[in-house]
Amino acid sequence: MSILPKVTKYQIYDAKNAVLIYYLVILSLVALVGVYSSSTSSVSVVDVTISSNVNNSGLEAPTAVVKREQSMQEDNSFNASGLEGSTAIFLFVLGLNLFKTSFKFLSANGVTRRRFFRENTLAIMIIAALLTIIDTIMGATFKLLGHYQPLYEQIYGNITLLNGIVWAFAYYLAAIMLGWFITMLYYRSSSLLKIVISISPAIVFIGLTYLNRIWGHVFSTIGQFFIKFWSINNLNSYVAARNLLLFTVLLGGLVFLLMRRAPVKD
Amino acid sequence: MVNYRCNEPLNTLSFGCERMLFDFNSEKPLYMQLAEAIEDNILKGIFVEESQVPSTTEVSVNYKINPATAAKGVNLLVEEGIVYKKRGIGMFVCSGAKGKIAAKRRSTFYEKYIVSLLEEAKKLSIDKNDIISMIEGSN
Amino acid sequence: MGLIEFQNVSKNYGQVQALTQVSLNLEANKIYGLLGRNGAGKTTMLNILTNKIFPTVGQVLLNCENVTENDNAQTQMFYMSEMNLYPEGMRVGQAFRWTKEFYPNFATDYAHSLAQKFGLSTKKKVKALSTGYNSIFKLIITLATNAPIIIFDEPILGLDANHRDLFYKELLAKYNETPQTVIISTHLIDEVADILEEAIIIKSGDIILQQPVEQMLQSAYTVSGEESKVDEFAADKKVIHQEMLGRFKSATIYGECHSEERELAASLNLDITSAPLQKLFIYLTN
Repeated sequence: MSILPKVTKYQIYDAKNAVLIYYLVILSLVALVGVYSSSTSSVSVVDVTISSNVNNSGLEAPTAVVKREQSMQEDNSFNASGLEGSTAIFLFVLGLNLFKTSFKFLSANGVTRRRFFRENTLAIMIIAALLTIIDTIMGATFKLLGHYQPLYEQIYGNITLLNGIVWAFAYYLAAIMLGWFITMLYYRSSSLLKIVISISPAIVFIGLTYLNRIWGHVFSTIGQFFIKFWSINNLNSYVAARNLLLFTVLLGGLVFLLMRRAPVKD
Repeated sequence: MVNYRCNEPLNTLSFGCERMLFDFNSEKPLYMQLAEAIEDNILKGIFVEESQVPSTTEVSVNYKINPATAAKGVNLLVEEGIVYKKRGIGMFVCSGAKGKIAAKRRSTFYEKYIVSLLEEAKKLSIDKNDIISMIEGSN
Repeated sequence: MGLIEFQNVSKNYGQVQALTQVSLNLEANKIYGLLGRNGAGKTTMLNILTNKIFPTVGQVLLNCENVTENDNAQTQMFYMSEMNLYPEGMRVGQAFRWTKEFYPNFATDYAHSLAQKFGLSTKKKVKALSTGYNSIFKLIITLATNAPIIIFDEPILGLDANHRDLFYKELLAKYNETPQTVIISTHLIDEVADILEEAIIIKSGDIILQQPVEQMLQSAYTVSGEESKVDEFAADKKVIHQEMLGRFKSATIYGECHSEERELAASLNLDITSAPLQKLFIYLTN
């Protein structure tokens, strides 16, 4: 721990509580579902989405939104899936919160923007790797307990563990970086621009729907792009991982540009 | 107008039972006022010859003045042969300092005190003989 | 070590000119006062120096290196900013520990002993601190970092008289023990005047004066006595302030007091005293 750069160390320390709470929630839910499903004849698949309050004072305790979907199973066994999806969303939210408060504090301690970018990137790589390992172990444990499929198996079928780990790592890293990117956009924007950014997804969607009516191929083209990006057509998780890494690098570059002249404000 | 700065001494090297008085509103620079205050205390016998005087650090912290100012005041006294530095220990009063200060002050005694005394007496219509009686009557 | 140089630094926010061609040279190991009214540009200067914001024109050097985005330069300075940069949920003790990570010379024991002297509980969270204790918390950290350059922006805001006294004494004790370059930015002049070695006066984004305080204090004096006599004395002089109580008047004169002035004052039965730096400051920054 002491050989890590100071900013990296601080950022990991800052994320520690959120990560612990996240896994506590996951494990409690899994335990509850496990107890519930093994004591009833009908089985439900629990899809857990963890969301957090994103506000200016930092990460609040995550709240769990639990959606139940009916599914047909023959036996009363423990059933769960797609831990990676939840973790990715959690990491996205983590990314949203890892900049503002830390940047101010580190600035007060003489840390330059360049140094923050470098050492924070290392931090998010470590966090992504750590959670990949944890989720892999948890996934393996769930498999022993009952029917469990990691998200990547659901998408790509039966791939090797290494395959899955690489894919998950790339997925997690991209999620954090996306969060960081969006928080940088907000940080560098005036109040007006913030509003514009907030409503732009809706506007874009409406615009695309309209274009689709005229041109007709918009959504299918976008769909095709996603399929190619995630390599669902070829079921090649390595291609997806590579694409995710490229996406991360691209966002990283944008984050760096946005950070370069970022003022420190109260 | 005289302002009275009371402070707790830093350590056992206190300023004695009296406090150093700073005349804030004098138009003399602060370092000069400090030098004069130390001289006063030597004259009064609070700082005895060959005994230690407060260091610049003590003066600086106790009276909340910049050490450079304190040092300048002390250096003034070093130059006039009133205090000297014992390496590794601190500042000490020179032998004969008291005499030196007295001699220096005697030469300005007339200007500083007699003239203003006479002016004040004139304001109050006190004549010379009354002044002389007052002086003879006191101890 | 510690040579700071502002080279023709300007900063504008849109139409507002916060700093106009500021050039300044600071030597090592002196206690400097950066004096100016509210909004004069003191904080802007310090924010540029400590890499919080960027100059529009010009640059600031530390030991001939540009300070902007310079890790090496920034770790030699510690700035007690007016801004609240500490995470709200962080405790005082934690803040000490983390500061030590970034400033290896941070003296933890000293910081804790200062906290005790000031009555600051190290278990308290930053958000639970009052204005005064927030200042105390930050100034303790600044004093304890042992950085070659330490900068205080309005350090005594919200401090009661006892704490102010304690601050000055602790600052001087530290400075006497380990010389550092100290910059104190404030508009509360008289309190801090005796501690400063040199003062820099800034007015509306412009540096109007940089001088040893001793010289500044010699550049003005006050005469007081009977009104007509004072007027006679001051007839051909620059009067920057006057007060009257009945026929008793005191006038602050901008100029040096030499023997001729003393003689004239004596002949007119006037008292000569020093002019407080504050009066001079008000005059210069009006």
